[in-house]
Amino acid sequence: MESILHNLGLGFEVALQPINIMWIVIGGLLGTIIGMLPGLGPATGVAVLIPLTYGMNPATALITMAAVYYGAMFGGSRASIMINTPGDASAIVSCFDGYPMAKSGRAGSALATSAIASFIGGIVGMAFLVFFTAPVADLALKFGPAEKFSLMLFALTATITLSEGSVLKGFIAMAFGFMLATIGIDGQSGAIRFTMGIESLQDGIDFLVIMIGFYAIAEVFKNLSSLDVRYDVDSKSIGRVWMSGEDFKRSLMPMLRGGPLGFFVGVLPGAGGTIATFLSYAIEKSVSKRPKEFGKGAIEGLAGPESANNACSCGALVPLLTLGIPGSGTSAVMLGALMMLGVRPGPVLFEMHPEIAWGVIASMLAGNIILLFINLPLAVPLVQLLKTPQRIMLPLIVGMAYMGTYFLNYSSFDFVLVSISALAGYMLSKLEIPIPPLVLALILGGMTEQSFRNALTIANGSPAIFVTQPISLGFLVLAAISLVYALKRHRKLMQMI
Amino acid sequence: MNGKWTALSGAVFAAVLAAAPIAAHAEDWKPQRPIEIIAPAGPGGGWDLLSRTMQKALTEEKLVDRPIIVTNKPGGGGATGWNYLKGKEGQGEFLAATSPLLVQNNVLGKSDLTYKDFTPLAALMAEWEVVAVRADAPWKDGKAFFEALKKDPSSMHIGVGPALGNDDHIQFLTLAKAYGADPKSVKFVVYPATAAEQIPALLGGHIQAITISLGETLEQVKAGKLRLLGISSPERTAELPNVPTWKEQGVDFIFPHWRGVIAAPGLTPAQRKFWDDTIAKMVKSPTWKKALDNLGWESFYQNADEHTAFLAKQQVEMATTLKEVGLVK
Amino acid sequence: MTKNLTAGILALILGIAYLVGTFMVPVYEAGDQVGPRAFPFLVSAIAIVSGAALIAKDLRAAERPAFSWGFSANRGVWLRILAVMALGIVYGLVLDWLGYPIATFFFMIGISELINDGRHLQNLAMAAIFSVVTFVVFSLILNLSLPRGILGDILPF
Repeated sequence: MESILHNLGLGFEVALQPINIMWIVIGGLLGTIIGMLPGLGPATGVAVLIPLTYGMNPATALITMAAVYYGAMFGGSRASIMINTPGDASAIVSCFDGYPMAKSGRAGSALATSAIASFIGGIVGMAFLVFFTAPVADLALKFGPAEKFSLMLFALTATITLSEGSVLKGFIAMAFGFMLATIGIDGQSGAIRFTMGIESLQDGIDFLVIMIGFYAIAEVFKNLSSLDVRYDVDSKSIGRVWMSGEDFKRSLMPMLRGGPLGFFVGVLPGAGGTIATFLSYAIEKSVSKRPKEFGKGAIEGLAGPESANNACSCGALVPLLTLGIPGSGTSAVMLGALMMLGVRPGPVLFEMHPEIAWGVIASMLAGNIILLFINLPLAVPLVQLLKTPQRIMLPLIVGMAYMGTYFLNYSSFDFVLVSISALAGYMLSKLEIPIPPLVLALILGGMTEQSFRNALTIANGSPAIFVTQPISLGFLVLAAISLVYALKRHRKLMQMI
Repeated sequence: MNGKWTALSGAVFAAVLAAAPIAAHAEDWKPQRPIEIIAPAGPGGGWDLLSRTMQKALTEEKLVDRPIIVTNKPGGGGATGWNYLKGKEGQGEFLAATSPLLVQNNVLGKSDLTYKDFTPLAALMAEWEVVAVRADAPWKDGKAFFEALKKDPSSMHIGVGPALGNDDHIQFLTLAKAYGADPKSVKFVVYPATAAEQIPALLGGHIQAITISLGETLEQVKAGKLRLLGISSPERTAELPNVPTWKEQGVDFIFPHWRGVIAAPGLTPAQRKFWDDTIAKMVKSPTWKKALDNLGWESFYQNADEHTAFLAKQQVEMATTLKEVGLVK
Repeated sequence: MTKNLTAGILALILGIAYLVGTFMVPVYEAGDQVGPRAFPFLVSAIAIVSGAALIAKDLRAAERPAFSWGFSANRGVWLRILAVMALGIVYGLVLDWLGYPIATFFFMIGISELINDGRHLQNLAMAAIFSVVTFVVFSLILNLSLPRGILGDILPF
């Protein structure tokens, strides 16, 4: 304990040097802006900074890159709330209640909630990073393919059963998502699946392309029929970028629950932020006294996932710092940049260069405070953007969406995909088929199938592995409970009809 | 061409040219527009790092007088980026990073592209392949490990990523065959996120070994958590002198995972010579050497002629190897 | 037609098409016992069963509100949607050849003429500013690769 505090002190000495504070501000601001743009996520943000880090000392470089990373986490949900366009996959959930809040004239309150929840999530995540890195990293090692498969199954059933409308339509949406996820070369056998002879589909479909089509462009389509209607913007109420006491009281517990959840999911390699935010939303909805408000602007549905998301980005640094391996696309880019500076993160880093390892951890605390102060005032001009007439706003959203699509794979073929998926998304929403299970299945599809197959390979073909492993069994039981709960609710509705 | 800019850049780089006088023969060629290095993968991977390291070394050492941009073109195991390069026939300003995948994809029938579709310029660096087990595992060397595998293949699960048919996979199959085990009996577990999933899976005891490149395991070995059973280099490496080569252990297997650079097809001899000379200067420069050191990469330089011959040899050898281990019929 | 019936039929059709596709997936000797077909089989089963159940549920339901896509009632909206899609696809086809700034300029003119129709000068200015600003910021300042196309021979940087 004492050594932790000593090391943390050392870290703050590094983090609070003026040059490092300056880079936290620059990195955080850049990350916030990049995170707001559809398709441009933290990985791109860190990548564009690499040339700047050439001349830096390694501690400053890592601090700057970490600032971009959580800056993008802060920024990712801005666009979700304002125009229903998530900046990246982990900001999808912020659309569910954030956008309805903005539409009903509570944009300022939503933006403030998101910034404060991000801040609290970041602080919780950081505290876990300081005090519980070793035990959490050990627990994460227990997650083999069977455990991962069951966790993903649970996340999927929870999303289906908790989304609005019929459970059957949720399953249909999930099946559609899986169909899209299986297009391309199967990594295990090399078999080409469902590409319909189109060579550009062999690498599979990037889920972000579908996401941009389903959310950003399809949202523009929905607005085409009401071009001259402005958003319900009451300049008095939206101008107030702050949470009321009542809002804070309702958000506090979701934020505190989201933090640890996000941190732990973030430690597991893979689509951490997405699973963390969807699970947090599902948990908040099922424990809430007002589940009916969810999807219509419930502040808990925004606060919990936002907190989980930021804590998750702290968690994703655990494998990087303790094992020297990247836990996410972003930390992979960070690893590359650090190696070019001659520093290899890993278990040895804490002993050889404690000033770097602890400097980064301390800088994250400082950075979260700085970002809170960047983001709250930034919300004021952002809210004013809502006053821009739709006729100007919509073409710009379309332009940004296509540009963001290009940055995903630098492939103009994706323009065809994004155009088709926009139409598909628009038509699905007309049929009231829920989009969240589809997108989640698309994101998790590849991993779900691969962990299913890996688990069976390891168990030499015996499916018993899913129930003999206690952690796996636990998630399966949770999945079953959420399904039974939904069917019961469903039956009640049927009787009412 | 914009005259003003030509004049300006001429003035700026006059000093450079004076410092390194180049004979101004009529047949000499120099890049006429911004140079584009194509990384056939997204940011952060080996090809991207190589392209950006080249960009850095060529710029900082002032070896070219045009700006260099790195273009990411991921997809098709490199094919997307290389196809883009193929379309730039005769244009000397377009280069791309490459690796054994250029040969393997063709031999495996995944792609029609071969080295003959381009102008090979150089091999630049190599990483060596290793087989890693947990530090507390019972197997101390390759022989003990593969004996155990031969006895009970269903108790040995080997992690490989991101997909079967790459260098990591080929290394393990070749070793299994050399030690007398049936390559078809090996149970491979595929991890699409590569080291990020492979190493935790190995440390957590879900699999028994991983076949992977040396750099990914370095930190774990130093921290005493992993043991390397052997390495595919011709001699022991300076960084880990305790790890024996496969050759020492009686398996004639030297296997570099190299990366290099190719140019667009149909270059004139003058264009090819320009890059051959420039890259020869680059690999001797301190910027380049320091960058390799930082990245933990070993130099594996072959000039244009050597590299072209090397690729021709690899194409034949790879086909034989893949046939032997059952990946190609 | 009702919403649920349409959705159910859609799931049924896609599920069957996907099932046919699954039978076309080649199975190789190498790989694992589960193989590349098992998971797709499961997925097509989910789609077909849920689709059929939704159809059955809808046919038995007491209230069946009619649903229409509104192709004729909202023809203007649908035409605009198709036009945006067509523009997006053409944009992709010409992007590598024309280069980002030029292709984006024409794309933005097209999109804004569709949405902000009639205000040509405003649209022209918006398209020009958008394409130049995004190119300068992302390609030149942030060093992300955007295609230069025919501009590649002219741009000095």
